[in-house]
Amino acid sequence: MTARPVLEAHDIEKTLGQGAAAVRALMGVSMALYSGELTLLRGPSGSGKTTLMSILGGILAPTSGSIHVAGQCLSGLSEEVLAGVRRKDVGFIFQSYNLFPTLTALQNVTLAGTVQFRRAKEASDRASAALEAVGLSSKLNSYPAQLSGGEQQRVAVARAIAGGPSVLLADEPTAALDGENGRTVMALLSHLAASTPCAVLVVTHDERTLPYADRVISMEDGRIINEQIMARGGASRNGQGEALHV
Amino acid sequence: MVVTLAFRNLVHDRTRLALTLIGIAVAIILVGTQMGLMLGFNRMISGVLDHAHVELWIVPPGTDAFDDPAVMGMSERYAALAVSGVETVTPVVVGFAEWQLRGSGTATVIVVGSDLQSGALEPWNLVDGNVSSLAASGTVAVDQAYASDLGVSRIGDTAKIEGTPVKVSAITSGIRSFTTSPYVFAGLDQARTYLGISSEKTTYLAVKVAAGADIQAVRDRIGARIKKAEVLTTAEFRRRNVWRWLFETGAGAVLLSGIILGLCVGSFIVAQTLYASINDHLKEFATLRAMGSSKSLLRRVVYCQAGLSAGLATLLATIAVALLSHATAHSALPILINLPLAALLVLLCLGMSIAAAAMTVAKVTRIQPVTVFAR
Repeated sequence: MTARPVLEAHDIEKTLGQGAAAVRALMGVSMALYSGELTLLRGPSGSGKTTLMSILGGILAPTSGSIHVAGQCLSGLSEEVLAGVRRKDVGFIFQSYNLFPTLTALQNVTLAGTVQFRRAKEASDRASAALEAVGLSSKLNSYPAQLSGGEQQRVAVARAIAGGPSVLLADEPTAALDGENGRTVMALLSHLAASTPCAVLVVTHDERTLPYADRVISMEDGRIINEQIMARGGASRNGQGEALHV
Repeated sequence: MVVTLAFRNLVHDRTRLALTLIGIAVAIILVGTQMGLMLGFNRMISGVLDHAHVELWIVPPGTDAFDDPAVMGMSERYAALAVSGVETVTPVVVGFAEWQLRGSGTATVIVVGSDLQSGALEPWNLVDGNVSSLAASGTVAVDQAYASDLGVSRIGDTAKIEGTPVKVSAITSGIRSFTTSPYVFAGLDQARTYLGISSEKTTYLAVKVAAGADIQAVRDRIGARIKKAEVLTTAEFRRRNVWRWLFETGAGAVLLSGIILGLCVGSFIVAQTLYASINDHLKEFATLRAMGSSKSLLRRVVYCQAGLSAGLATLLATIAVALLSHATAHSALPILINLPLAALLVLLCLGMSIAAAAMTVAKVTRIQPVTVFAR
């Protein structure tokens, strides 16, 4: 584990809606994601987890505050420049996989290279390597409908890592999976965090994800209420739940 | 991958794809048919002028169509012959006449007569008989497309023109008239007899310019000497002819309306299909955007989808129009298709699809990537 932050957020505020209907979804959130770590972002529904992840990934602008991804400040960037940051440095994994049903596993993952303007051959080679890394080299030509939920989520992981991101943001990646597949996906994400320079953030409700975490951040009502560094296996290393940053 | 994605998006719903292709193809067939008819009419209208071996025409003032003539004096011929750079000046007489069938009944024909020895204007595409046979008194050449209307079927068959007995001595193929009155070719003297035009009068004078002479300069010199007639190049006379019949009669406007309607229907179908397809794949486009896709990549997918459907539909439509063209080749209303027209159809279809894609591309580029997290 290293201590190099690849993503830093400072004093993030986000208000959704306007006027009387305005809701403060995030209130002064500051956090960091470190290379080589898997961080869990936990909290009840409506606590602001997904809003925070959207902001960290550069697809939603904060009302105030600043975010740095791989050293680049996202404040004030145009939509297209933010898209550029995402394609270079951010990989997304979604709860419902968001695979293209008309494309094979290989083609789905190759899209990551297409988005990065890579040549077809290079994009395809990288996609094959990514699928091999997630243990799906035998399913390259399978369509999503021919794969199990766990396999589909592994294809989604392969797509997220094929572009070589600095940060991997996973939104409830185990929510649609059974226990075994959920564990497989979490083990995979944990392995990726440990074996690559990538920082991994997993937004989750799932208690089963805890043993894979290096760090756990808990949110409630738009604020971070607790942050713990974990020993693998689910135990807190900093005094059984001692808050590092609230 | 862009092409693969666009193609897969299209073929994902095969029923809709089939309906789309049929819709676009029908629109293109409509456009192609109208354009083919226009091309056919164009050829029909200007067929005689296109087959004349002369560069200039001296015509009565105000002449706007070859088939709708007035007469002028032969004195202009002698004036033209005196102009340097003029090789020959051939009188051509043209006029409507009544063709009396052997049994009973009549038909209106357009008699075209010229000095056949000059080679300035003579019937072409002969399928039976020869041009020299028209030198004999009382002979005519008719086209096989109108033979049954004229009550003749072979060489030697007889009829009367304005009461004068005539015998078919040559049969042509593919010489059609826009006015629906068949052309009947004859020698100059015979035609004058049929039309009641004296030897001091003519309808037109066809001018052959000497080899190496500047056509425009010769035209100007003739124009300077002739005050009671106009001098036109063959191309100018052709344009007047086409304009008169296609646009002053409204026939061209009808065809153009069909073309515009076809383009509108085609564009609407492509736009509607693309829009529906994009709505079906909004989540995928949002995912691409979240992955960092540029707007230009999203546009490329949409344009590629439009281009693919247009390409497939154009292929179907071109085959259908070619079959129609083949089927009508020997009819009185031929639909012509040639390489430039086929290329134009492809370009129109592409243009139509690009226009349709442009209408729908805004929907894709405005997608908010944050919608990928919507549950």
